[in-house]
Amino acid sequence: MANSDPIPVGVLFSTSGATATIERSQAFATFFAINEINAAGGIHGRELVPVYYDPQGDSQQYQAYAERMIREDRVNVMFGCYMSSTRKAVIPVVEKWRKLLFYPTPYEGFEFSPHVIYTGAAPNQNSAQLAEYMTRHFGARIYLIGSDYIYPYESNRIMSDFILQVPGGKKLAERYLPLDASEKDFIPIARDIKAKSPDFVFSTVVGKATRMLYQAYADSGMDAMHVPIASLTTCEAEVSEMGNRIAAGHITSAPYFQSIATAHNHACVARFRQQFGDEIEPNMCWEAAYFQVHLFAEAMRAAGDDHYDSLLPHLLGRAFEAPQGRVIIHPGNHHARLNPRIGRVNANGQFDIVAASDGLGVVPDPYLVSHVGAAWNTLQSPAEVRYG
Amino acid sequence: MANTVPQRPNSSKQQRTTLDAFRSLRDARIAIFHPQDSHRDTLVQQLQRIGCQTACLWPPPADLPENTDIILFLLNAEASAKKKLSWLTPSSDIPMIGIVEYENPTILDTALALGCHGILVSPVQAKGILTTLIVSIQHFRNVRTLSKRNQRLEEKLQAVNEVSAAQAVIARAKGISAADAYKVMREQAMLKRVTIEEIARAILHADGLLNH
Repeated sequence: MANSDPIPVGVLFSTSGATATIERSQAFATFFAINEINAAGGIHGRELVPVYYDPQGDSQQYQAYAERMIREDRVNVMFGCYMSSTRKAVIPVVEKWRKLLFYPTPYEGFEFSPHVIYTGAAPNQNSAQLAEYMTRHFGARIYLIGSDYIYPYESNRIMSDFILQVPGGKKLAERYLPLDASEKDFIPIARDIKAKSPDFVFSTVVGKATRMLYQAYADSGMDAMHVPIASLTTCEAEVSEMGNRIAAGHITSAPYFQSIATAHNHACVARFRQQFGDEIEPNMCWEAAYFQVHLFAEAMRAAGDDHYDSLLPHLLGRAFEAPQGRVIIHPGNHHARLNPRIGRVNANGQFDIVAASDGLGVVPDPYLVSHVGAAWNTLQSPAEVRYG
Repeated sequence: MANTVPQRPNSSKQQRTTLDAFRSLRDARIAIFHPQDSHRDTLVQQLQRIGCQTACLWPPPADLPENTDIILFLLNAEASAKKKLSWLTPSSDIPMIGIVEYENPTILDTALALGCHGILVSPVQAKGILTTLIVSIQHFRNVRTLSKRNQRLEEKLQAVNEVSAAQAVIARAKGISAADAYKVMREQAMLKRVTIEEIARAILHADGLLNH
């Protein structure tokens, strides 16, 4: 291959289906990073060329397109997937062909594939912090509501374990709704929440249904300032869909919020807006999708090519100054060291950061079962100030 | 995507908490008897991701390292030829997982005869190790619980038989009903501060001596 040949890279996010809003933000973050890398001269003068397909939220299509990208489009590296079921569909393909998948989404942990780099939060980087923060500030009588798939099950297991160890901790209900639930499904839920009067609601509802839950919650007369919904996935994209009035007061745990008050983050968001306008709201999944492309590019510059065996050693242990702060790929488990934060939606639809880990972040531990003890200590009390 | 997962028996989604086997696994000390090679590296790396402590030894020692919680051992000709390994027994008091190179009847039969609670197939991959560990630990615990219960039941059954045999002896000797014979035995048990089973055993013993 001549040194000036372009480098095809796969981009596999759905721009239709239940999770289209968030996945579209991931796709655009990927294109944004690719543009930046190319504008800076590519990789040793070689241009990155995205090969994009829309798998429409369907696991089988993720698998088929992953196969096609490798066999026909000759990609060695792909960026993609949001729901765990779609990642599980792509993994056998990248393993079979010895390729690499970068996965930029918080997920339930308990996984390691040598052919995946995980850049979203593992449970010890978001669930643990959220459980600790919410029980300390609101109480431990909780109502759990989630979408009916594996990520909510696991997140609820972790939250339940934690709640049941807190004095007075009680689970008032644990409900699941299908991913394609409709507005009317949430009305009885909101009514039930009001009747049971929890200290807070833990939601693992994802995708389109997120807006419906928050809407029904507001309509039922619940006050987010006193009894907020706590989430691991509700981000700026959903907030913008549901509107600031409905979203204000609710709480999310994530390594990244658009509101992070650093020059580095502000500049990154501004550059993105300049190129892609205001339609896409930068959020935790957007940021992971963005920084993982840069991590790849830096590793490839060092490796000289993008083949799995030469690229991987340059990715493991690599650090990058991401919009959230420094991230490092853990050589042992391929997940990223991230910077957990707790955000609360303000009147402008942005997250006030009410708690954050110290500057070193939290080492990923995807197989951690009991989230107590040391894991909490990294969440500093002094950081609980409002800014932005 | 499978949108639902099978539920545990007697447990609804309302009770979603963590299986005990997981908690013990997190800090488990695992002895690995396997030669140094890339397969062992894969195994050790995944065990460390899970959070276990590992100690690798080859060839397998006659005695286990102290405080071992789980054994993972390569089951091949070299290992099975050494029959003098004190830990390699079906009555092992910790879970044993054999690593086999062949999935054939001879090897699997050997693994089961040696008392393996779980089996991994070489070359091991990262995925599957956690599942085998959890299933093996759970299987080991279930077997242990059941055999303890079985032993208690056998003792109980034996005692019941002895009590009714002794009852018959007393009833015959004193010309009273079986129910009254039981009362007599119970009074004796109270008086001598022993169990009624022991009284029954003494009666049967004496009866045996007198009749032969």
